[in-house]
Amino acid sequence: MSVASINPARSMLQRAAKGGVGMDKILESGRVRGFITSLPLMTLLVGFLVIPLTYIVWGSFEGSQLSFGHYSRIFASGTNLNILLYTLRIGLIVTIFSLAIAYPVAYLLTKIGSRSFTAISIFVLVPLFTAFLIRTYAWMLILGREGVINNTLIWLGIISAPLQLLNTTFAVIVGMTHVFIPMAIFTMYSSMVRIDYEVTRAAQILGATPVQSFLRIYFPMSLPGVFSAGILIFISALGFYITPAMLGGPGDTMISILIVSQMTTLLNFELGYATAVVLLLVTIGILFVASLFIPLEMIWSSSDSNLSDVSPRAGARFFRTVKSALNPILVLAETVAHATTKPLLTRNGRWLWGYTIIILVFLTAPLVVVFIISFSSSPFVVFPPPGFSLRWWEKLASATDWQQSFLFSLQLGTAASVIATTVGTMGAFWLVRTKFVFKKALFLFSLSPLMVPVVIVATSLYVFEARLQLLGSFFGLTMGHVLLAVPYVIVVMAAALRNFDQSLEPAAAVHGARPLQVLRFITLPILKPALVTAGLLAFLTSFDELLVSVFLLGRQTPTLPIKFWGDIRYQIDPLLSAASTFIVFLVAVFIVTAQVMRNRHNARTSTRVVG
Amino acid sequence: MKAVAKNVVLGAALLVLAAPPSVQSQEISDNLKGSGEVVITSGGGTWEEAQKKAFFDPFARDTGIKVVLIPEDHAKLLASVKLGQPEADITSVPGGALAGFVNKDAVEKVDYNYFTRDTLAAIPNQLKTEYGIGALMYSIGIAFNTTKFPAGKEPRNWVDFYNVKDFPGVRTLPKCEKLVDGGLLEGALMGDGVPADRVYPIDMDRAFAKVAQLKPNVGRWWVAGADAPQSLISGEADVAAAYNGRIFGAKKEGAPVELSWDQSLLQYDYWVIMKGSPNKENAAKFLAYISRAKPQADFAEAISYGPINNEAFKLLPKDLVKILPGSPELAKKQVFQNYAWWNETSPSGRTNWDVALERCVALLSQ
Repeated sequence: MSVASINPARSMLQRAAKGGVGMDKILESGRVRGFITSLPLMTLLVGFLVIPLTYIVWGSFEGSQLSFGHYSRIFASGTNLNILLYTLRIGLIVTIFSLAIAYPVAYLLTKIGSRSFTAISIFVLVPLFTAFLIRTYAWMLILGREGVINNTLIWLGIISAPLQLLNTTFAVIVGMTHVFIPMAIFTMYSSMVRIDYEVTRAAQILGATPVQSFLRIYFPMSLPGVFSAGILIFISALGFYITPAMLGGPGDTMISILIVSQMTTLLNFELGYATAVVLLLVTIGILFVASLFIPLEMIWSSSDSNLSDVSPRAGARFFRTVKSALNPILVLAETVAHATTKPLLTRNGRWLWGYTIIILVFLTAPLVVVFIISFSSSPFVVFPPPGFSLRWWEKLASATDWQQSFLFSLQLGTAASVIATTVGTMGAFWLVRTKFVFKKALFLFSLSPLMVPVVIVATSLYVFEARLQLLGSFFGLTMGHVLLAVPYVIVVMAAALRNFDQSLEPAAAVHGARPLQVLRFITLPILKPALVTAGLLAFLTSFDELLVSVFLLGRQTPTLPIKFWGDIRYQIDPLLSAASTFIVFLVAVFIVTAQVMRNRHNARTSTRVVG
Repeated sequence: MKAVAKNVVLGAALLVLAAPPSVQSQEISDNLKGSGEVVITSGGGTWEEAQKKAFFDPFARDTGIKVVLIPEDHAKLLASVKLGQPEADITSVPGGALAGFVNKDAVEKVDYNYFTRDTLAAIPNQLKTEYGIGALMYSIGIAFNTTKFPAGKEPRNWVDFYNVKDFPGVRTLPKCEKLVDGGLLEGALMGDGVPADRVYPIDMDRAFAKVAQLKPNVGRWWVAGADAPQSLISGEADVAAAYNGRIFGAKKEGAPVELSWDQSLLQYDYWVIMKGSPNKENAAKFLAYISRAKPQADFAEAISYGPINNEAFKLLPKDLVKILPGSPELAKKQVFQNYAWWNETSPSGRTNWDVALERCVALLSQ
């Protein structure tokens, strides 16, 4: 560590030592610590989710009438079952694709210098900041009958009639995978970055081929990150509805679309509530069954508790048998893989770079379309634009309502991100570090805000906040966003904490650091990459959130997504693309500036050490 | 929060008082003037702009009552009414949805005492009901991309729409959520040869069979009003069942689209006052104010939707009247959508709408 950063640290240590003696005694007790760290999360989940949801469950039975009519109606129709199965299938496909596509990119991110890292993360992050509505429109222009792909293929003479790409399940999968790849990359990265490369190198020194050392050493160590990303994506994907509604064909009905139409078209709220309850139960059921076969504990159990100590359950035992039976095949596969990949791997990761660039092109493709359209002379969203003009940028510059919405969304996102990161990180500490019985249940419970369809979260929060007189207040709106953002924080932080070398903390304590000082000067700095990822995901959740905002806004300034939605409902013009491009530009500038400042800071401090 | 609102109201009131006499207010009767506010839901975008220009700004200026806008969501609004704290005083609902709002006991009766006799006389009967007063007229008709069909060979009505042999091209139709608003079944029946006056009661078996037959030629099933013109412009579809306002808006901006009025469905929205509204009186004043001919004409001019006040047609340029739903000339070619039928209970105990929605989802998800 550099001199410059140790000095303030020491003075802070001294200052903290004066004030915090009474506090330290209390914090030494594990139970008290568990209580304190769990309190914010539990308050949030019980206060803003469980209690409001009782209203929904109560409503689904028609209250005191205890009628099962809505439930029997749901199960009486084969269509509803098909929609549920379709939703689950899409969720699974999107999850697998996102993970498989993102894994190599996340791996590359752990191996490169800070400058390339910044470059790649800009390309990965920036698409997330294009409003999801305009992003979906960009996909429509790319995949459409007279879209970019079809026109190019026809021009090249490869096809004679346009392919049906848009309005198909394929388009739904493309659109959704596009949304989830960045999330997969950063979630996996923040846990992979903690894996020690020396271990794989040691394996190779001991005679393992690169393929073996990857498959048998690195890959298993990276699994917690993969599982965390997978769970997050799967659960979030089940609740998607605007993207599938706009990109899909007639049969692409997700269950959330069904719930929204039950509530807003038929005004049959109780039926919508019942459908949501069914979805929640099915999701929990699937996660429970999955936990029998996939060691979900890997996400939250700390590395010092040895997994093999626990008597393996039926599923795990079954898996182990299968694994040993398959061993010869595995070895064979490894040898083949080794033989084929040998020439590739020796080229020093050039292939990995090539692959990453292809993925980055995929991620930025809609953004490029949006960027170009923002300079269109046409009042319509057409591609390629018929001419160049700055009219949409001029309109944006004079649109004060858009600027106000932008600032308000920024404020809201920042507030939600700070609160969610604090609450979620404390909760993750509690879930990972404390030993108690119902860990699995509690972990799944902490993800529950994502399992309930957003329209239901919005309705229940509305009723709840109206009773508390919180409705229409900034705090009430922020808490709605915090609720939706907290699961992302928990999963990211839990995966990072799991790989955390806990012996560092007692080491610091032995040298005289008090619990809060250990947290501040040891634990949090080490967790910084994960904290940044978590904070960012939380911010983005808020920045792109539509339904909860519509419900809880009251008379405050409309958020950006509400503005976007209002415009897109009646007329789609390139103003949206100009607004999106502007936001993307700001984000890119922000990331680059932060990186330049960090580099300069490092350069300055290192010269001071030398001088 | 409340204090801020009060200050704003006070400020607005002071502004009105301080307004120099040179700002001429329109001739409105004194009983429409007042104080305080009225809260209205708004859909945003060009829609809100037109309403602001024709309704909100003139109303606030002439009556001294402040207009507050909040984002529109009917699920939220109904939840707020159920809690006894309606978030808005006024909202507009599609004609077919009014019965649902009344059944849920979510709306107040419209107080017609604030309306002048002239205004009331100029509003058609089905648009001035106990619980809702007409908001605007609109139509779903056959729209097409003009570059795809040679002159004289354009699809003109539902029969042409469903005739892919003589009018080749990809179709776009409303998805099940927009089944009623998008006139899916009415169009299918007329496409199958049912005369306009025999559409109701709808023969669902026949209508769905016709939709199923066309399904392979439907390239896109739209969910939002702006989707149909966008599909025509981007080339995703060649013929669309689309709202007149969206098509004429796009045409005005130079898009190669056209709409045919033959067999088009005439539809309307209602304004409703939410149950328990704290500003009931101001809400009634607002509805009386905007139903007059002048604001109705201003709105039609801003967004090409039909006024609910027949006198308004006289204030509008002839070229515009020709393309406004409900205008005397067009009404002859149009079919009034029968919202009452859609809300009738079928033998299964559910409304026709509910039954049709389920059948539609089942058909499309095959």
